[in-house]
Amino acid sequence: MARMKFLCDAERCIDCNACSVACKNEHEVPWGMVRRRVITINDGEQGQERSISIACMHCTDAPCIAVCPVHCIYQNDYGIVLHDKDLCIGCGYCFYACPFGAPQFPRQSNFGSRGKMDKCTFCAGGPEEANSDAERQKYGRNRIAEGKLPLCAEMCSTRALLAGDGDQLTEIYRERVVKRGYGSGAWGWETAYYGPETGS
Amino acid sequence: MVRAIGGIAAIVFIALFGIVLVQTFNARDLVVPTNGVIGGGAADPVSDNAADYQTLANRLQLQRWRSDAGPAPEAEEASGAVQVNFRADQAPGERVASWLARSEEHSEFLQPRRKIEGHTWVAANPVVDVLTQPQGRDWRAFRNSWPVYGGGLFIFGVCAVLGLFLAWRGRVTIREGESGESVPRFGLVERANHWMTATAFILLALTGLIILYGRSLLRPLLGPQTFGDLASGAAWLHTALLVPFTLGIVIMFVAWIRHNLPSRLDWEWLKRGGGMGRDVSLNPPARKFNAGQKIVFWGVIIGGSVLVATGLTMMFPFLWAGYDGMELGQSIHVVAAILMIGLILGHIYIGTLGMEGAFPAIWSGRVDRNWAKEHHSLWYEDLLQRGRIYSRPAVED
Ligand code: HEM
Ligand code: SF4
Ligand code: SF4
Repeated sequence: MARMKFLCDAERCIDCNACSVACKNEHEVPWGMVRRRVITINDGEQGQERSISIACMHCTDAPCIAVCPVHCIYQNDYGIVLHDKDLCIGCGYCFYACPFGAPQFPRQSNFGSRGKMDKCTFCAGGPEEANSDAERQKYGRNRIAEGKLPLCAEMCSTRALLAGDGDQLTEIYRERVVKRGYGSGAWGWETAYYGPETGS
Repeated sequence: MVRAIGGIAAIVFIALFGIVLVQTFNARDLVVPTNGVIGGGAADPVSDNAADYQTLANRLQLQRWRSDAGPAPEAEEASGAVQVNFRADQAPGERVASWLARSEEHSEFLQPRRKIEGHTWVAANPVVDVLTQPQGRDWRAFRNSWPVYGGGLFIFGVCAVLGLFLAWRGRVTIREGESGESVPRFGLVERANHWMTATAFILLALTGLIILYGRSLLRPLLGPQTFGDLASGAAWLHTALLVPFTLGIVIMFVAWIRHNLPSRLDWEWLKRGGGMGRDVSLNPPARKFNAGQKIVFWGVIIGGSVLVATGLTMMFPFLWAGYDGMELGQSIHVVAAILMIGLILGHIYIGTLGMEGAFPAIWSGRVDRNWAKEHHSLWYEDLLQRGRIYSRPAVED
């Protein structure tokens, strides 16, 4: 069934970091935190080097939601994982549980270590009214309410980063792989969207 | 009377143990979409705060190849509507099941699950170079099962055993009765330090348990906002208490270590169950601390150090530990905390309800002469020999 996802086509990503910068600017993410980053693996190894843009993947059965001691993270029907900063106690558990290093923490609180968590919102803001001042200040802009998709993907100059309906993402990616004859796969999907259905 | 209380308490705790046991087998830790923070307050339904799914799906067409989609989103609006598979009326559980069911279809794109590291130019926190750490899901599965349910079973189990013991044995009395005369046992510094550590420990345990169990036990009663405030106060206090707790165990270590080195007597004492059973008429000989007290001492020193070390690790996330270290540190912290709570429950029991004459030792600092003679015979003789106290004729019966 349809849900929103991110997909980074590692064969196209050129490590320009425009997505990280665009995100930081669009949402005025405070100093010291980045919601999206580009990671280069196998750097310098011929034919093996890949760059992958990564942020919150908005997981299915999201581990961050499961471990939060105050239950202030939630998912919506589109699969987008959002967070209520008013309730967060900055314990850091979501960071330990997150497979993608998505949660960010400003340096605050006891002995200057942990403030309230911040992460990628899929450009969907937070619990406040869409694009109200309160929402904008805490979570940044709400593009999803405006009928737009995440800025990082929409402005990606090489069309490497894709964001939107998961079924279509796979279609688009499949077409590309067929057309050019190669593709290293949907990075992180196995953990993000098909993570083991952890019973207890 | 006391024994009846023990019996009633035992029944209550056995019932609680049973409830947790049932929960353990019924628990299912699957996250489903809730469209807002659960429990009222800030609801965030997609129908109010997001464009409809079809609009967003059409918009994705703009992310196709440049040659297919045009130079920029603003250049032209997406062409035709695409087929989407979204249903607004699906039940949350079904929705997640349908999301998970797609793995077959996408299997060609999926990679084996493994930790992947590289490097990045963005340096916001020390672990940004990790692309994925699928083990986060394993840590979640552990944190949400063993400590939560195991902890409940262990704590209620210990309480039930103590209740049963009280019902069976009653209070351990001073065999010769109170002599009415006391001998000095703990000095002012020792007692003050004991109570500082104890207060810190109890508050640490309570605030820690709020973080561990509050979400399932308190949040439904208090609501998300009040519980959030309580939890943030608890988290603040929990870390601030680091200071008195650490100081307490350090002083305790220095003050009492020489009385707590293991000796042959301890083995003897343990074999005779400390003289706690009903039929044993004589307490095994002991110096200032008997084997039971030594176990508590070492439990507090070792458990306390482990909690301080792992607690500090969590206070400064990723300062000296990576993902493995943080996840392991948190797991050790919660397991050690639960074991130590069990140990201290036993300690509190025997120091108050369980044994007549024990509590004054750490309160006024003086114990009854007969209590000293019965429980710490060698220490008592030592006091006599060193002239710290004077003997007097045995109490006539
Ligand atoms: C004095 C040193 C200690 C430090 C620095 C410390 C620190 C921490 C930290 C940072 C957390 C993470 C949650 C939060 O941010 O509030 C935590 C959780 C916890 N602590 Fe401590 N702690 C200490 C001692 C203790 C003691 C003595 C106990 C209990 C007897 C305890 C029981 C717990 C429990 C039950 C949790 C929750 C675990 C979970 O949610 O899985 N802690 N502690
Ligand atoms: S990527 Fe991390 S923060 Fe985002 S939903 Fe998954 S676990 Fe949560
Ligand atoms: S840091 Fe905040 S959001 Fe993350 S688990 Fe702790 S309380 Fe929840």
